[in-house]
Amino acid sequence: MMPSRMIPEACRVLEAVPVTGKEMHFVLEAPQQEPFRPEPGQFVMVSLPGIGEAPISIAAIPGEGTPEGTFELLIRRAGRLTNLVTRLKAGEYLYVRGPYGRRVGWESFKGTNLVLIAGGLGLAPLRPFIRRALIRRQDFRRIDIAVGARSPDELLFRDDIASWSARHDDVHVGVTVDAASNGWGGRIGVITTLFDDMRTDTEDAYAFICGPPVMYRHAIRKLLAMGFYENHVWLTLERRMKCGIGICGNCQMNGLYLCQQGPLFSYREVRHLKEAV
Amino acid sequence: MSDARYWASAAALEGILDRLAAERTLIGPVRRGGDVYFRPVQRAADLCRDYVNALEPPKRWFLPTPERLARYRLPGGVSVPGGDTPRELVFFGIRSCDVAGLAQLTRFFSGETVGRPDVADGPFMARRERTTILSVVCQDPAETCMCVCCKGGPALDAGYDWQLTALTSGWLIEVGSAKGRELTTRFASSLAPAGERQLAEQAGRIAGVVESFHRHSTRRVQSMAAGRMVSQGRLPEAFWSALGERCVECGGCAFVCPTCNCFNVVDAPEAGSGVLPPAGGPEPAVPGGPVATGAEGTFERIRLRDSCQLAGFVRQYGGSYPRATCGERCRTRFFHKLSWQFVARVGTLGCTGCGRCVQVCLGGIGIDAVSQRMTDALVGAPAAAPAAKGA
Repeated sequence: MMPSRMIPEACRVLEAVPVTGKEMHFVLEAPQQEPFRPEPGQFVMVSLPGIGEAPISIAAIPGEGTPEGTFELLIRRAGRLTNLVTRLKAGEYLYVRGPYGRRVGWESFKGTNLVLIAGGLGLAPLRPFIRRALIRRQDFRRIDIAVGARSPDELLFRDDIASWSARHDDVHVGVTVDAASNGWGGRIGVITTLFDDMRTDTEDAYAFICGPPVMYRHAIRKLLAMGFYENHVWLTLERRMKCGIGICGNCQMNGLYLCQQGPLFSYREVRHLKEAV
Repeated sequence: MSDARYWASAAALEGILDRLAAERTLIGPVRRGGDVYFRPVQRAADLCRDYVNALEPPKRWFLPTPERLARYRLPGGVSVPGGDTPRELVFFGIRSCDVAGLAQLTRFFSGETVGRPDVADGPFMARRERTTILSVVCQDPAETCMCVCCKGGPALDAGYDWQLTALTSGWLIEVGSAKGRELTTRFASSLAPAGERQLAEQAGRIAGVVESFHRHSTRRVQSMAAGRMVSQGRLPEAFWSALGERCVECGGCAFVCPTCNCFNVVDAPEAGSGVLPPAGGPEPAVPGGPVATGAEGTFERIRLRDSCQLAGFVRQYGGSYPRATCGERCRTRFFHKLSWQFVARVGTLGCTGCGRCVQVCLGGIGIDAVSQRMTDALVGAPAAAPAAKGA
């Protein structure tokens, strides 16, 4: 009998680094039973035997800033499974299946301006986009990156942000926090305040947004006001997922199965959905 | 359309079923207490003759709950239940609504619905491929039957291997698949080509059922008007919250639905494995629950039926709870059943008119009542309170 597709593979943890009090950054051996070639915006189903399974966005794609045969995840402690996952150490195993989700044709964005907007944990799914855009820098015109966090302590991927900022001749990076105490020399304010510095030609630009739901509403409104086309604003939607392949029904939003047709969507595709944004 | 029609005497059909029962598992309507179920029988004589439909659709034979998907023996690795080819099943006596439901499940789990054969569900497809469907046309529908509204019956053009209609004398057999043709070849000596008179009798009987439905039945799946309202998002919050008030969240509507297919996947210590929390380990997240993926032990991944109507279905850790009210969950369910968006995706309504959700719903919000309320909302009629159960 053909087995279920919902069978994970044990992947060895190569590195497990605490990021803030809540998140762990994992470098893992990639699954090997099938070629593991994820695209930016895709996710994997992560599990521990006997505990549970959850969808987690891929934070680094093999060969794009992380060695071939490995990939990265950033996992926040939120529930029963992630509480245990974030206790894993190098040498232990995480169970993984995937990658899942829509494979967005990267070609259609070539030759345009890119605006990449990440709030909080949203930087994890967006990181492969940013890395690919910087690896293929010549494919794009102006690149703007906006990163927001609640406080300086919650800022993720600081090394990445520093290295992107260091390329100030060809990348425009803005970082802001909602609130900060003494010692923070950077900007304070909501993420949309960074958009004022974006001198991008919105006629020919794509924006990718990932962050908490409240950020979507404000960010999208502002981008549209700046002149972005609705089908040029891309966002990722999240739901509870149990299969990852469009058959369990948990992530269904009206006629869409987010895991299969998403989780990356253009705003035009989802703007009419009550639950989306 | 079926490509060939035959006639068999009652005795000949019984002989065919007995022979099939001897070599495969014959499943058909069986009376237990006052209710009818699809259950295996040893011989045709054990089948129930005077039934309208079984309490449950046959989907549990294709999507058993719970179903083990994987087994982990640690240290070691993952093992997958395999090698055990499912039994050859022959279903006799399932009704057109359930045939249509099974066809919809098959399109869904084969990946055909979304053009993705790579996501086909192995366990479902293995069972479905080893199943022969000998359906029987309903001639005496229940008061809750609405297949005529949903292209779910009383007779179908496809989805079966054989479709049988009881005539005054014997059975008319329509053949709907290669598997059905194999059976007609094999049992040729028990079959005769159907004559004009028999074909006319069958057509007359089916037309009689349809006419009787239109003339006497009070229940409808108002798919046109309701589809318009739900597809265009024209029903106000108050419409859904009023439905939510009446829903007791038992999940019965989904569990008895021949097309509902949502499921949950659960990882757990294998039942009876005796896996205990390691001494001195962290506190379990739930009292008595597992605390770690033990380095040793036996665990399993199981699939369980689930329903979008149940409160936990979309609740997420991290504080996000997209459809927190029962009314919002009602909206999701009926959107899936009736919206144009899903008709476009699936090719048919998400309802085959079996009427089981009408029978099980304690709140009186089966698909007939809800679609009628949507129609009332479209034409501006004052919303009538749904009839209480038994009223």
